[in-house]
Amino acid sequence: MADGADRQYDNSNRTFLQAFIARSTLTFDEAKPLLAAIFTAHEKRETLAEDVTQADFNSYISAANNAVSPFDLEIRSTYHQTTRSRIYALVNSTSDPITQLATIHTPDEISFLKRVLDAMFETYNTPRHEVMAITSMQAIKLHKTSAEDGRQTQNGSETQGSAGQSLTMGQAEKMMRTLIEEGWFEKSIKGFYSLSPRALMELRGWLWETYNDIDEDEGEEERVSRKIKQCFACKEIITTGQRCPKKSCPCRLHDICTQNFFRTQSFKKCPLCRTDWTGNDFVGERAAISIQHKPAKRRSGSGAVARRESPMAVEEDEEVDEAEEQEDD
Amino acid sequence: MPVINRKRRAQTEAEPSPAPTRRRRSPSASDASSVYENVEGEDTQGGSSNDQMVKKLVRLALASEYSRIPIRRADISAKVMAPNTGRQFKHVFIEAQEQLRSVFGMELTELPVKEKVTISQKRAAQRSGTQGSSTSNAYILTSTLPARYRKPGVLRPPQIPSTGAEASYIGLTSFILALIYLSTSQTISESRLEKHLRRMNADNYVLAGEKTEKVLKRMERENYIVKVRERDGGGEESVEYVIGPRGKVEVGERGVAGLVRGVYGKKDAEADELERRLVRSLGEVVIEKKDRRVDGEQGDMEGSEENEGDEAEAGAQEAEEDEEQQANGRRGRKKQSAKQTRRSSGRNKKPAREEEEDEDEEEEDEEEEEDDDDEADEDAESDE
Repeated sequence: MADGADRQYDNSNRTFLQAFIARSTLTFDEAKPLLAAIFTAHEKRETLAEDVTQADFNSYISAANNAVSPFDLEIRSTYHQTTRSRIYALVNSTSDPITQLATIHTPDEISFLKRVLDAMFETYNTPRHEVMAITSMQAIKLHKTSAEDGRQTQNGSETQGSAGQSLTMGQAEKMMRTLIEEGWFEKSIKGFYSLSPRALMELRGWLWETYNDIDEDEGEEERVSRKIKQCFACKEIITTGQRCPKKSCPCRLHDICTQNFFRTQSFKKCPLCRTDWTGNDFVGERAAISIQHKPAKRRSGSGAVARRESPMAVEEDEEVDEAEEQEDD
Repeated sequence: MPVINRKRRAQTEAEPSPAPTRRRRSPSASDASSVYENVEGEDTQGGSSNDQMVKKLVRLALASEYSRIPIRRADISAKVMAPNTGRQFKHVFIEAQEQLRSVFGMELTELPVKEKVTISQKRAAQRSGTQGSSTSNAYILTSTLPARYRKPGVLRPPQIPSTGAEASYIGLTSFILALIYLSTSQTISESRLEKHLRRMNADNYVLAGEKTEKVLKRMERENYIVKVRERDGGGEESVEYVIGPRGKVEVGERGVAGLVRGVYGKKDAEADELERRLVRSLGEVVIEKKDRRVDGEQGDMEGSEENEGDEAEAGAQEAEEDEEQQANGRRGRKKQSAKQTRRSSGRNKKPAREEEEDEDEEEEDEEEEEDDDDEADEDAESDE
């Protein structure tokens, strides 16, 4: 196997890189058979997947990362927000017109995707309900361009994707499916689409810029306009997890992060505002589940704007009611 | 190449391409310069701008391959080269090649020029006096990895749009290319192709449920195959398919030979016979340096490092296996529909098993065509 990190960059590294490119994401478990196959080819004797060590993997990852970084590519890793498995992805760290070629989607599809993202992080990400996910019905409704339903781009920044033609509902549905296959979205059992770890890694900077109006003057304390939040413990973007029951408090924690976090604390209190941590206030689709039990304002709302408003206007306090029992730890 | 942000399109302002070229140079020049120390040449601005151009070219290559767009010389000039640096093109190109090889195990390969197939095309070419330039100035990325690394367990079809869809596409493409390569004068008429596809149960829909027509269009668009329409004297239109530039580079004679070996894989004396016929059909390029039969293809634990020259293609190498089974279905002949249906359900990653299945299915299909199936194979076969 790999004999240390300071080996020369050779064909086994190149092969690893190509394989990585083709797979777009990699976990250690996925990498084991891959590296075993590479070692087998490289050293001309068979290597078993079980013999591949974490150190081998790390050395290949870091060699690849060093090799591609001059090209503004980067291997990032993150933990899956719910399973906590570590996922590596090769991402492009600069956006430029050249790399915008790298899509098999039409501009119209991309523009639909943009609308879906807007819905995830604006329409369905209100202070009361930080759903940050979207059901397929909600997504498919976005098949028309924003011009037609009069919806405004909330962040006002005109991007390349904001022009274009509507998709048909069928196309929109297909696009959502494709995005899952391509590893950008994940779909939960309850039918919510959310961003995959891969997408979060690749889009980290962009999400941050696009959906958080950063008021430079206000500094750290001004978080009201922050649509994208970090987990207080691991500092990664959080789209599913728990939140401080106090609506104005920006503290969020991944379900898994809470375990370690509160273990060291004598009381389960919000680390920022000291409110008692309920474990029943959620970020992600569980925040939406409560809404659905409400008499359907949001469903019947005709446009995205109406939908935006209704959850805020109605329930104040009871979105928490169910799902308590889902407290998984 | 899934490398890059397929999404960014939505997210960045469209910039006219020359602008960033200039803008980017200064801020980021420093971080790249450490890596390429050796590209100075006679450029006046020092190495850093060259480095930037090299980097851009590499990124352009990766991004374009992602959607199988060839990179044209003109694109490079417009998107990569800073203004008034045309003279450094060669430099930048060579250095980018070097980087691609050493880091990614890939290189840019120039596509062959599209052949002038029809009489009218030939005439037009004659008239305009251009004998057709001998270079296409269009490039695609190919792999430089030795064959032993290119195994399905290692390099599988890209995940975009999905591994299965990609595998079946590459498989079908290779199959069709094989049909064309093995046809007389390397063209196949539309009706003949249709017949073959029907035998594969792929005449209307192919594996992933896509319309065959659409898939053929895509192959055309991506330059795997070229559709040639020609009107003969009587006004009758004939439609033929020939091998496209990308097909030549990615699959080529050797890819086809590999596929045939996978399908017909025989032992000993028969294998020699097969090899002989392959050479007769495809030319000497397919001769392998050392014995690496089908088992080598599958068992491939060892013994294949002699095939380092075997760099036929970047995308198709991972398909080699797929192409086999795709092909097994039909060019293995006499076994199709049952198998094809199974195959159409999107399962295409197990060459080894396929072999056995072939055996039993062979008989059941045998009766239904003795006649029409194998024109494409005739070169390979008729010698018996």
